[in-house]
Amino acid sequence: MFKKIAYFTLALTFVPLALGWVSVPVHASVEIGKPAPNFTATDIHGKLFSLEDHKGKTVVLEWTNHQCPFVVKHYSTNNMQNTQKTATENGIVWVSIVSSAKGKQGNVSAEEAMTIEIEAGAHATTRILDESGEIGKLYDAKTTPHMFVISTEGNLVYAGAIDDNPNPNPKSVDGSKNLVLAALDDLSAGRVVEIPRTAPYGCSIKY
Amino acid sequence: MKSTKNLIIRLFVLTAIMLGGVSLQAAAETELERYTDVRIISQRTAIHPGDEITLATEVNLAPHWHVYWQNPGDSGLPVKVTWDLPDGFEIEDINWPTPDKISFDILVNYGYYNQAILLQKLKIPATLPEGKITLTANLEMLVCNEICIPENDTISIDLNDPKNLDVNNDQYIQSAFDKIAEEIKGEFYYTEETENLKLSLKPEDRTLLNNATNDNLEFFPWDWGIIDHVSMPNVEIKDGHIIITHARGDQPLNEINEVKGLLVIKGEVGENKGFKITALPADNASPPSLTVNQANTAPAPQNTTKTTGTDQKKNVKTDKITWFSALYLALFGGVILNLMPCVFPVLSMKALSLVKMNEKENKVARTHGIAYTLGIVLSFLLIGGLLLILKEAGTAIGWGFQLQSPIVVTILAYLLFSIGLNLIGFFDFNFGLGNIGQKLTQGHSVASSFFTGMLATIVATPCTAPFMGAAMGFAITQPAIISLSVFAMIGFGLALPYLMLSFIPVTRKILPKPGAWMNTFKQFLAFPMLASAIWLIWVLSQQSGSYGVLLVLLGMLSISFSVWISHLKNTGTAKTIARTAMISSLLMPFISLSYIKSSTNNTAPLSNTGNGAFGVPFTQENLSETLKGDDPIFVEMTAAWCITCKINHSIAINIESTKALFKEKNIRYLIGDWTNSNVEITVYLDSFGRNGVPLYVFYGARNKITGKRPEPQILPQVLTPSIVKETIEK
Repeated sequence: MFKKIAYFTLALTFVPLALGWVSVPVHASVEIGKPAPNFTATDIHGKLFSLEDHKGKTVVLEWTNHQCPFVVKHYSTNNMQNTQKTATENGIVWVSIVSSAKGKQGNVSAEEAMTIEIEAGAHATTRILDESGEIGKLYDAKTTPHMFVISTEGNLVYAGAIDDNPNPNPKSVDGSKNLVLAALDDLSAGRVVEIPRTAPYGCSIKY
Repeated sequence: MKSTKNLIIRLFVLTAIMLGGVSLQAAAETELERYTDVRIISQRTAIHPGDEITLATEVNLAPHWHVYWQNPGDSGLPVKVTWDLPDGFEIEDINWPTPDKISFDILVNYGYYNQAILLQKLKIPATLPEGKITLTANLEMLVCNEICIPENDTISIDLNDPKNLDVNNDQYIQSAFDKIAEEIKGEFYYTEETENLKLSLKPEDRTLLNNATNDNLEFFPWDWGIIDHVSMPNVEIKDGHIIITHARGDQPLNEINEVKGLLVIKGEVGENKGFKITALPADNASPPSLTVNQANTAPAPQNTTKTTGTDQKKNVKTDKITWFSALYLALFGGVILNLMPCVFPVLSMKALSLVKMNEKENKVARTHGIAYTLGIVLSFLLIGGLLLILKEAGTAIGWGFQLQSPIVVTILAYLLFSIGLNLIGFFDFNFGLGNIGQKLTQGHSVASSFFTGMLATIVATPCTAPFMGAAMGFAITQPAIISLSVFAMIGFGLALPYLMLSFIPVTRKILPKPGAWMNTFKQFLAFPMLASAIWLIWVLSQQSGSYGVLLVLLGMLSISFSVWISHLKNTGTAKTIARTAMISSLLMPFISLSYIKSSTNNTAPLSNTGNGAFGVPFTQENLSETLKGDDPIFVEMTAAWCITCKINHSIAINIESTKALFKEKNIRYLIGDWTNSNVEITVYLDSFGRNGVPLYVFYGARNKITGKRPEPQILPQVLTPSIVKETIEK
């Protein structure tokens, strides 16, 4: 009898626990205020890039796809290049990442990527081809562009859109608020990032 | 739809001609291939000042391409329509059709394939210029299959064009509206649990979700960041209560104050059925601000109802009950419970034990008062907890459920019978009722007071006192803590009179002085006990038939026999024989227990017990059928073990004047018998926020002019002929 009661009690205790375990989400590998996950990759110039080597510096991650109309909007208006320039001139590390899979839109070879970079007049510190989508999925990157800002402590402080105007029309760049620059301003002024997360907009990443 | 296809074909033929035809080069340079074809359709081409019409933006898409819903999901942009309108015109927000969920690897979008018709209401000003009026829509769309292309359009339509005045697109607009996710009402709450968004949804109209299952139901959030779109929800549907657990999105839930979205029953592409809901944080649901089940829809026993006529969508107004008033009702009901025939003797005996107490023994009296109260409250919590657990496990039950088991009824009958024998002096076994003439201090343990409390609860269970029904109905729909607090409060109410006597010595003065009368009184109290036992046997007769009655009577016989044997003054062998006889006869009640089963085919026992042709048995189908007619309907929910029900029935319903009234007004009289568990009745009770009998509902006659029935009236749980009369004649 007592055994039965004991089993019953055990069941009562552990069944909900077990259920709770099952429903724990896989979500939230990246979270604002938490350490940004490290990754190591070879860039288009054949150099090894590892995020943890840049602790002490602010890092910006930019997901890109040169054929996506939203990316085109920001490059054709020089909006992205100007943002990169402002950032890198202030000692910030800018990493452009292409996560398009082989055969999908935006997938390029290292040579093509270099041409694109030069033609666009990009000012990124480095450009990484993430054909397997590993880094993209690690950061739960959804769109091109999708922007991430990592603080000098290595924490994620901004994730989301490049600006507050989700629109493919190049004319919409004028008058919109650049959210990455706003976050970088907050950081250099020693403030907490005022808008830490927004809905990214753009084309889906072609994983 | 044909026109749509034609348009698309036209579009591609056009493109093909351009690309392959004469001006190939020029075309390739100037004309980009288009994947959408957009039309604007006005409900009417002629408008009048002050009108309100609907405008449709019809987006036709090339195969495999899609545009986006209001919340595009992980990427994409919603279709944007901006209007250039003449002065005074106002256009409302877009009514979106239910989108499809479009998944690409780790990305999920919400959008439309093939065709999307976006509807907007247009308010026309009070004064209109003469002649043609032009409205212009500017469309911005992101059109995607795997890659995305922005497409823009500027489309104008003319209204009040003298050449084109008599076009009426009502039917087109109506069929487009059928695809719009309509806003529904109900109790919608959300909480955050271990990084999950947990939605607790109780739609008012259960029938809307008749085709919903745990596998085909999903939640599409109205805004970005609410859920992690990619992960799959965990859905549980039980008795019209839907729980959806979904990994939450990037937006911390404490930074928002409502969750809007669509409850979607998935179908083929373009055939999803969505219902728009707004869920509030569950903290708002906590007492005392919450009102319960203010309105309910017709019971919909899972998958069994066929009829969903408009009459089914009745809006019942139950009294608004807050946690506080539920507690108050519970307390009051508990106090009244003391007067019920089964409980009254117990209380009386307990009270008598206090008679002889003097001032100095106040402390002891208090201790006993507390023990008795604890005994009652704990047993109520136990029964309440059991009820909640069973309910959680999906059993359709309600208060009084214990008595739906013939075994429990039999044990209770034995118990009451034994107490009766004890009170009358047939034997002296101490049931904790206190020996008359003895003071509490003499050989009377505190534990016995505790057990008397439990006993009082057990014998009280058959009786639902007035006011308790509403309180319990409330309790059962609430989170466990709140429902248990209501149960505990009923128990506290039941204990209150005795607690008062034991704590406030002055109140004991109202009790008569001790004397020989006490013994006589004690013996007298045996009779309500025995009467209760007889009543339980009658209940059993309906559950297990005459054979069950025979068994339980035999059991009682052996109880009395063994008591008699134990009284014999025996020695030696005689004693051994007597003991053996006693023990073997005591086995009888248990043997009989194991044979007692509920008979399954007693669908309408009540109509066989003196009602004659008066009333027909309640079934959901019966009710639906009757509701379709025009006559008023009186529904009575009762059970053989419910004394309140029986009294109401015999003093207010089954009397000549009420019968005559029913006949005069042509009232259809339906009786539901909950003596044995019956899911249809439980669901029906539940739809009125109740979980126990009695319940009386009156549906007024159909109004000849409007063709509708008035809202059903719930009658009080204690009836008088005049209450019935007033309700019917109102």
